[in-house]
Amino acid sequence: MMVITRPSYDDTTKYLHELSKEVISIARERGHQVIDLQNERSTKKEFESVLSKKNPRLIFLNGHGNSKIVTGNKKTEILLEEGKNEDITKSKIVYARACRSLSDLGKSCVKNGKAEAYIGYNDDFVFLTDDNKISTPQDDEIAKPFIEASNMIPISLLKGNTVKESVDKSNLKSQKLIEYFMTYDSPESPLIIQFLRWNMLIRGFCGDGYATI
Amino acid sequence: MKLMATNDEIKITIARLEAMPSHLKLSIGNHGSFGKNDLINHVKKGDEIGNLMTRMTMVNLRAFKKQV
Repeated sequence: MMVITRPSYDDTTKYLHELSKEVISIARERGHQVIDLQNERSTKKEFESVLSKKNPRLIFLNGHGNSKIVTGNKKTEILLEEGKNEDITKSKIVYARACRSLSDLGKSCVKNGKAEAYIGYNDDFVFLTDDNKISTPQDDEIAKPFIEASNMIPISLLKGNTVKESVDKSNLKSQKLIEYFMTYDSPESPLIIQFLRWNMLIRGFCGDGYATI
Repeated sequence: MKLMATNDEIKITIARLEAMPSHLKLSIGNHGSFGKNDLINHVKKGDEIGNLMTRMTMVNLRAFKKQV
């Protein structure tokens, strides 16, 4: 079972909300139950309740964050916080597509909360968007490589790969996209390469790299 | 500790941003989405976003140098 949080209240979260649909589809196709805490359901109360009652194996968080928190339906709606509720991640694999949470929160989830593994980012996760496609993220070819590379992690986990294999596959995808854009002559290519490379550099995990869902 | 960008690094970052197409925006986590001119202004100010932008630029250039 996978729990996914998908707030959608600013441009960033709207993109993550829309482009996470692929992961949900693949999860369901592979027979996994999905609890989709989207929009106003991305609250701490709902999140904690679902984790407590349903005991999902995989938690996929989309949202904003810093080194100590990941947020939900608004920046003040803290879903997971170092020193407060890491214990809800016990025995689970967490993937947080949010800024910086791997460095402190992720380590605390593993060490203190007994999460099996925490995958995330040590610094600010970034992606480019096409201003002409802001209302239709699914048609935004500029954002697509960034989301494809980061969606690879939950997709790989859902296919039965380990935590380490999934992070490696995400990085390999990033590398292949970088190589593609190195030969694709467009004014956007240099920046796409730069920011794909950045996200790859700051992506990582802590906990058991051999864990699977 | 994140070090302050040097003047050369700032110049390089701004030069690269000058080539950023105007229809692009960069989404930076909690901070929001920024176009070319916003990013250039942040780099010139040397604030958190500006320093991040410079770091990302230099990381990329160093990686490119290693590949070459």
